[in-house]
Amino acid sequence: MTHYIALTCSALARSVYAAAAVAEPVVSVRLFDQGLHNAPRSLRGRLQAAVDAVTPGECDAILLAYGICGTATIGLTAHHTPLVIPRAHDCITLYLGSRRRYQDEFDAYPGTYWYSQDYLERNPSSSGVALGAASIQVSESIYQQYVEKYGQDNADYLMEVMGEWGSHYNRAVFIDTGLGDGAIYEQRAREQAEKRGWRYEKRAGDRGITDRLLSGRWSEEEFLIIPPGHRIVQAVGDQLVQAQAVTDEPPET
Amino acid sequence: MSLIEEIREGVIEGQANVVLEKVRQALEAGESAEVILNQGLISGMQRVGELFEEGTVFVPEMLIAARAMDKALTVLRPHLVEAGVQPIAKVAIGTVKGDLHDIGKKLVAMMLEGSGFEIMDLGINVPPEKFVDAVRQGAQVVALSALLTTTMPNMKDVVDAIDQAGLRRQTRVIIGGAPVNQNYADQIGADGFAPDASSAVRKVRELVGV
Repeated sequence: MTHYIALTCSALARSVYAAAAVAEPVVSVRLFDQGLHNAPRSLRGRLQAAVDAVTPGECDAILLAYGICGTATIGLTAHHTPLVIPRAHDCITLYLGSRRRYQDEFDAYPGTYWYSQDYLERNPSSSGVALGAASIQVSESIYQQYVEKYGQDNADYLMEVMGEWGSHYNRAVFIDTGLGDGAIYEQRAREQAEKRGWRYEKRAGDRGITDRLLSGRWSEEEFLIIPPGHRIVQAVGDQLVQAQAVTDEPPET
Repeated sequence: MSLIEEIREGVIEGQANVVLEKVRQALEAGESAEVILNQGLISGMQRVGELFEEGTVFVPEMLIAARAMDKALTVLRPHLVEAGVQPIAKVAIGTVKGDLHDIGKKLVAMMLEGSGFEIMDLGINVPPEKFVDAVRQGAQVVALSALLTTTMPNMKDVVDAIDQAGLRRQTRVIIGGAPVNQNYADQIGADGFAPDASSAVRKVRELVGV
């Protein structure tokens, strides 16, 4: 029987488990904390370590339930088992079901803060972790560290500069994947929007990409398959990523 | 420690008020604005840049050091003008269309300005035509920033727009931001890439031949 191992961001936990439950292949899900994209190199190291820990013949493919995620997945290398990754900037594409739909949303409102049940239920409000690739919120505890380290004047300046992105954002969107009871999380997203003066919207999620990833329906258009001896590199154009044979050249990240 | 050394140390420590005060004292003591700039402010900022590249200090330290330099420049600038110190070149800088994240851009702008460049800060979410206008207004370097992979393609649009306006030969394009690299710069036809703010200054200097 076909067996896949899915390395999964916790932000997509429900979608991935739901897909795994009904997928014909046996899928072993390995979860990684959300927000690790804040330190792309470190996340890359952890994902590569997980890939490397798979023994030859243990599974038919290693699935990455990730996007580029701030370049965290760029450079990941397949040794003996193929890797499969959706062509996506980040989890918002996997939530919305296509990169076209994400792009349209992005073009309409570049300053969008995304929310979902998975994200909110795993995210203490002070963590400073955002869904998607942008995440530069500065929390109160960091402010206190700044005061101690650099003095009040500099701390205020840093808060102003590093928190300024928020003033350019103008929309909160709660994505409803249709899994679980998200009512209290939707309410929390609405409150956040109100607090920050953002317009609030709700979108129906589309779990199609995750379903197709886990069930092995990998079209060239939607997924990149990285054969053994290849690594993931960024590509110019809509395909976003491509596989590059591993040579002596160092990875481009 | 001499006043110049104190200014340099103040920049490294990110002590804006100390730096400001010491620059005033140095000017009163008859020190030349150019020496204060080069041996105090720029030298201090370069040191912070080295520490950043070594991984000893991080973005907050870079920001407060650049702020200290920036504040001191407001006092120093009239003296530099008086002494006939000309800007090295004009640099137009902005985050590309769709990108609202400007910490990196701000830092690079402050560091370039401190290093003697004239800055045209076009802000955030800048459409390609604005960069083209800046080149028409004499920007010899166009510096593009993107934090998101979503907005990276818009860097190519800027290069293409400058090209289509027939202005490609009179300007140099440099790109930076978390997701971009030299390979991407090559692919979109940019002239340079810098992985961080202090190498951005070096790269821009190299691009204009100083």
